[in-house]
Amino acid sequence: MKKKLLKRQHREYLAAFLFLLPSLLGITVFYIVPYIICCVKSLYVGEYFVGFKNYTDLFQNGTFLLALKNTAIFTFTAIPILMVSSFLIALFLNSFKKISSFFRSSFLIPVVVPIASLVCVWQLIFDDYGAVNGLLKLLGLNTVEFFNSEFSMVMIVFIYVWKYCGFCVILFTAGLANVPPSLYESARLDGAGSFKILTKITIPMITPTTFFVFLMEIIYSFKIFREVFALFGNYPNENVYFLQNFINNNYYNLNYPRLSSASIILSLFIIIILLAFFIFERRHSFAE
Amino acid sequence: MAKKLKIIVSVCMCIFISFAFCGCLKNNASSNSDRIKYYACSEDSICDIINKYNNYCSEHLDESYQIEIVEFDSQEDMNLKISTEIMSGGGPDVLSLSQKLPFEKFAENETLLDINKLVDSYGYDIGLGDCNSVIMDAELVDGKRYFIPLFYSPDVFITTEKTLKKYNLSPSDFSFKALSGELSGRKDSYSLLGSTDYCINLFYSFLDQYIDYNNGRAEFDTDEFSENLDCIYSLIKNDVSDENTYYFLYENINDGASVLYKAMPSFDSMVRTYSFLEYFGGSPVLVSNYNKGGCSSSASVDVGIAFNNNCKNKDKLLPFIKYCLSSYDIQKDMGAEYMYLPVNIKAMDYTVDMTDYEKDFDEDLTVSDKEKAVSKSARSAAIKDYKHIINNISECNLYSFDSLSETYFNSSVIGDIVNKYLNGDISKGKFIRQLTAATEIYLTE
Repeated sequence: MKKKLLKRQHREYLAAFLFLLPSLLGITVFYIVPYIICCVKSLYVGEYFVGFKNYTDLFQNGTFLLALKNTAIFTFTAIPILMVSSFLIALFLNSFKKISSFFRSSFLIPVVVPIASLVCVWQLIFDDYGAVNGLLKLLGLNTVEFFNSEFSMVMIVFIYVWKYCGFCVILFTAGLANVPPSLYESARLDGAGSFKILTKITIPMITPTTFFVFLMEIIYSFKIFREVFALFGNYPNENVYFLQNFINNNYYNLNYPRLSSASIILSLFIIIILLAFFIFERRHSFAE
Repeated sequence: MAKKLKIIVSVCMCIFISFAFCGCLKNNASSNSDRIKYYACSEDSICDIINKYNNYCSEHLDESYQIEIVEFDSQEDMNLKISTEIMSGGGPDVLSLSQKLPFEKFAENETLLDINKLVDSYGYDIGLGDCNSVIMDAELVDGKRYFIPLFYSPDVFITTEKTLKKYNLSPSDFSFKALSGELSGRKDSYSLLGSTDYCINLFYSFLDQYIDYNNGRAEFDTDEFSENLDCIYSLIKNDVSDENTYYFLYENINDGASVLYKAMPSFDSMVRTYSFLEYFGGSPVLVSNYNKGGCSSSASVDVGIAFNNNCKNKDKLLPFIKYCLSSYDIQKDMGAEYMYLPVNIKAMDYTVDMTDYEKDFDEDLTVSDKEKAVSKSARSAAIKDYKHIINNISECNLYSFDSLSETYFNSSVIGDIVNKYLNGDISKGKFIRQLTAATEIYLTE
C-alpha cells in the first residue's frame, strides 16, 4: 500500500516537472542566460575587463543620475497615490451591498484601451492649448506647460493613476469581500469604531491582496514608459527622463557597457523594492 | 523523489544554459567569415566604390579581400540589424556616414575602429599624406581617427553681385545677419535658397555650430545664439520658395529669383554655373554658409566611411582604405560622376586641370567666339574663386549639407522640436529650453 502511494507521488512529481519544463526552459533561455551575459558584459569595455568601473562611471554620469532620480520620484509618488486611492474607492464600493457587473467591468476600460488612442486624448487634454489649460484660463489662472515643465511628472503620475486605478480597485474589492463578516461583527460588539476596524481588521486581513496589488503596480509603473515614449519621444524633457529612456537611448547609441550596467542597476532597484515588501508582508500579515 | 527531481531540474537548467551560451559563441563564430561586409538599403556611392574595389581585388589582390554587400529593404530594418549585431559582437565591417546612425556616440564609446591605431599596428601606409589634411584631420577625436572622408564639398552658396546689390550688400560685407536685416525691412517676398529643404538644412547647420560633440557641450543658452537665431529664423520663416520650382535654372539665378543657391560642389558644375551667369550678364559671387567663427570657410563630408571595431579581419580593411583614398578610379572618376570634390590632392588637381567648358549658350548649334571667350573667362574666375574658398577651409563637418535633416541627431533627437519651432507651434524661449535639454541629454547619456 505504502509502495503504491509512493509510486503515485513519484508520478505526480514527474507530471508536475513535465508541465513546468517548457516555462523553465523559456525562462532559462530568454531571462536567466541574457541576465548572466548582461552581468558579465557590464564588467567589460570592449574586450577589456574593467571590473566595476562601468558602475562607478554610471554614478558619475549626470544624465543617469537624473534618470534614476526621476524614476525614484515617479515610483515613490505614483505607487502610494495609486494604492491609497484605489483602496479608498474599493472601501467605498464595498459599502454597497450589490454592484452591477457592468459597473465593475467598466473599471477595466482604461487598461484595455490602446495606448495610441489614449495618447491622442492626453495630448488634447494637456496640450498648451488643451482642455486643462483652457479651463485654467477660464478661471483666470496661469496656464501650465505640461509637456515641458515640472508638471510633466504630475501629468505622468495622473495618467498612471487613472489607467491602473480601476484594475487595483477590482483587486482590492475582491480582497475586502474575503474578510469574514464575523470579525467586523465581533469588533463592533467590543465597541471598536470604524477607524479602528479599518486599521486593526481590514488592512491586516487584506495584506496578501495589498502585496499582490503592490507587485502589479510595480510592474505597471515600469510599463508606463510606453505612454511616456508615445507622449515625449526618445528625448523627453528632463523632468520625465526615466531609466528606461536612458537604457533605450544607449541601445541606439550602442553603448553596451553603459546599457548593461544601467539594466543591472534597474533590476536591482526592482529587486530591493520587492524584497523590502516581501519582508514587510511576512512580518505584518495576519490573514492566515 | 523530490530530491531526484530537483537534481534533474538543475541538470536540465545547466544543460540549457550551456546550450544558450554555445548559441552565443556560435553567433560570434559565424561572423568570423573571411569576407568584409557592408550593409546597404539602396545602391549608394559606397556600393559603387565597393564594386570597383571587388574588381580591383580579383585583378590585383585575392578574392578574400572582396567586400560583400548585404542589401536591405528599408533603412529602419538595416539600422536595427546593424545595432543588434554590433551589440552582439558582430555587425557590418564597413559603415557609411550616410547611414542614419549616431556616429558621434559610436566614436565616443569606441564602437568604431581607430584607423590610426590600426595603421600603426600593421605599419601600412594608407596614403593619408596624399590627401587634404584639413578635411582628413577635421574629425579626429583625441587623436583617434574614426572617420575616413572620401569626398567633400565647401559650404558655399552662389549668388550674383546684382542680387546682393538689390539688398544693399556687397560680396565683402555679406553676412546672414546683414541679409536678414535687409530682407526683414522689405515687404517683398523672396526665396532664400530656392528650396524649402535647403532652408531647413541651413537651420540645422546653424544649430550645429553651437554643439561641441567632442566635449559634450551645447551653447544654446547664450545671448549670441539667441540673437543669431532670430536672424536665421526670420530668413527661413519669410521664405516663400515654391517646392515645385527647379531652382537650378541659370536664368533664375541671374534674375535673382532666389537670393542664394547651393550648387553641386565639383569644379565642373561651378564653371558651368559661372559660364551661364557671365553669359547672361551677371557677376557670380561665392558666399560662405553661416559660420559662428566669422570669416573662415567650412566644408562637409559628402561621402565618408567608418569601420566597426568588432571587425574580425582588420588587416583586410587597410588595402580598401588605401584604394579609396589613392585610386584614380575612385578619387578622380567617381568624384566627377557624383560631382564631389575628392580628398586626394592629385585627383583634385587633375579635376581642376580637366575642367573645360564650352557652351552654345544661344543654341544656334555653333560655339561662337563670344561664347568661347565667356567660357574661358568664367572658367578662370570660377577656379580662382572656388580655389580661394577651398584653400581657406578651416573646419569640416561630418555630414553633408544636403542630408543634414536626415542625420540621427537632427532627425531623432531635435527633429520634432525644430519642426515645431519652424511651424510656429512653440515660442523661441520654449524652443531654446527644449533644444538645450534634448541636446544635453544626448551628449551626456
